[in-house]
Amino acid sequence: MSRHEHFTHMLARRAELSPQEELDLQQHLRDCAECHQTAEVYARQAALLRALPLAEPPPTLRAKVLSTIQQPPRQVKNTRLVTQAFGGVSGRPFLLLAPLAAAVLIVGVAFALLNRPHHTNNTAIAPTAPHVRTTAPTATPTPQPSIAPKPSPTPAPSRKKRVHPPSPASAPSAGQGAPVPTPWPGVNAPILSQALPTPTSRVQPASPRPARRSSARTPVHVTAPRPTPIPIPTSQPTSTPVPASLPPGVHPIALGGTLPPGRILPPSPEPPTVPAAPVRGAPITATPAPASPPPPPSPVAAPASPVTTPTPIP
Amino acid sequence: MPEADSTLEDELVRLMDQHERPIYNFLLALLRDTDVALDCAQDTFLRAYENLRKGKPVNGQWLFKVARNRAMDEFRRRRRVQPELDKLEQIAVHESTDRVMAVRSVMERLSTVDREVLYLFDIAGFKTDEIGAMLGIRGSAVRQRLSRARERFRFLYGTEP
Repeated sequence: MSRHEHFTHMLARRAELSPQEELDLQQHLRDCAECHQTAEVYARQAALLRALPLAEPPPTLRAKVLSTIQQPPRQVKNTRLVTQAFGGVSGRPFLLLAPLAAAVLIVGVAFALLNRPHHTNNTAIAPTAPHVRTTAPTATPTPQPSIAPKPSPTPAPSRKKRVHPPSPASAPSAGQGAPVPTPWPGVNAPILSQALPTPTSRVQPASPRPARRSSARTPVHVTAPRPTPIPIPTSQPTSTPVPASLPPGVHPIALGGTLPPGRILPPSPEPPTVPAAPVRGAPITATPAPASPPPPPSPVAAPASPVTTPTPIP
Repeated sequence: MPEADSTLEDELVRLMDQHERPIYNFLLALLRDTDVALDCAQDTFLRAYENLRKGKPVNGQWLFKVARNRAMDEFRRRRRVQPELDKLEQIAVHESTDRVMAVRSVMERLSTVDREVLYLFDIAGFKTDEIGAMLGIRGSAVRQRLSRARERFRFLYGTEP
């Protein structure tokens, strides 16, 4: 604030200046013509405002105030009326309703979760639905280690988990007369599906789900074809010949093969190569299925699976 | 009526004798509505009586603060738009024969902030620090507002009233 502005502010509140401030101001006014003119204008303003005649308040003002204070105080307020209606608990009456409302809310949410709408078009899928709610666009039946399901010690599917243990008892073979291999030796998939309750609410429907609103951003949800189920051997794993050339980093046992006699198993430096996940927004191309039947799930992908027995390493 | 209540009523009557007119005019200057100003003044003195019943002191500064807060509540309720300086026009004061009318017209064209600080300082006679205590701001901010209000009044009224 400059010296000139300082004195302008002093002129605006000249009525409350101290004697010393008034002396300083008068000394400045003798030298500054602009401030002198401002002082005259402000003094005229204050005189005009002080000269404004005040309106007379209506006599009803005092009468209303005095009549109001002479009334007896109200015995019960509106909130207390409500309180008495709820049992006379002092304080906030609606706090009584809070636990009841919370209980109703909890029961309602639990009821809604337990009675979610069922999808009936997936009856062909065994209770141990083999597929994951996958986002992989590939149609190859080869197991994908990136989304390899965690093997569960119990074959019964969990209602809470979206990822179910792989099971070969899936739709195409369920309707056939031939016995369908299951993770449990001697158990047939159709029989199993009849014996066990089907958690249809958590099972992915066989048909592709209708496109969501966000399908433009994540098209992999609707375009992924259903992979062909892989029959898993019931008792003993079949050994497939190890190809002559393996991609680097892929262990031969990971492909389900066996080592030739006398061959020393090299240490596996890293887990099997994971196929690259599809880039969001990239065009989705289905990987052509191999001509030969796919190898069974490797013990590396599902080491604790109750079905496959790990290949003994010499 | 009990003696204590009679004493309180006498105290309220004394307060109204002293501050009823300035409070009503202050509310009238802020609200520019006689009915609303009357209601606000009534609420102000009723609150003063409640304060007296609780044994709390009531003075002119407290009354103006309560009245001003009540007026602000009315402003918020009505959402009245404050006039802006650039949209205002100068009043032809020199052609007006009644200076009082001209001053009232200027005051009505000022913003509420300018109006209240001019009224409280020049008409009600409070000091800037007291006004700051009423408005909940510092005295330096009141002095700033007062200086701006004077310049706006000067612009609207003209340099040679």
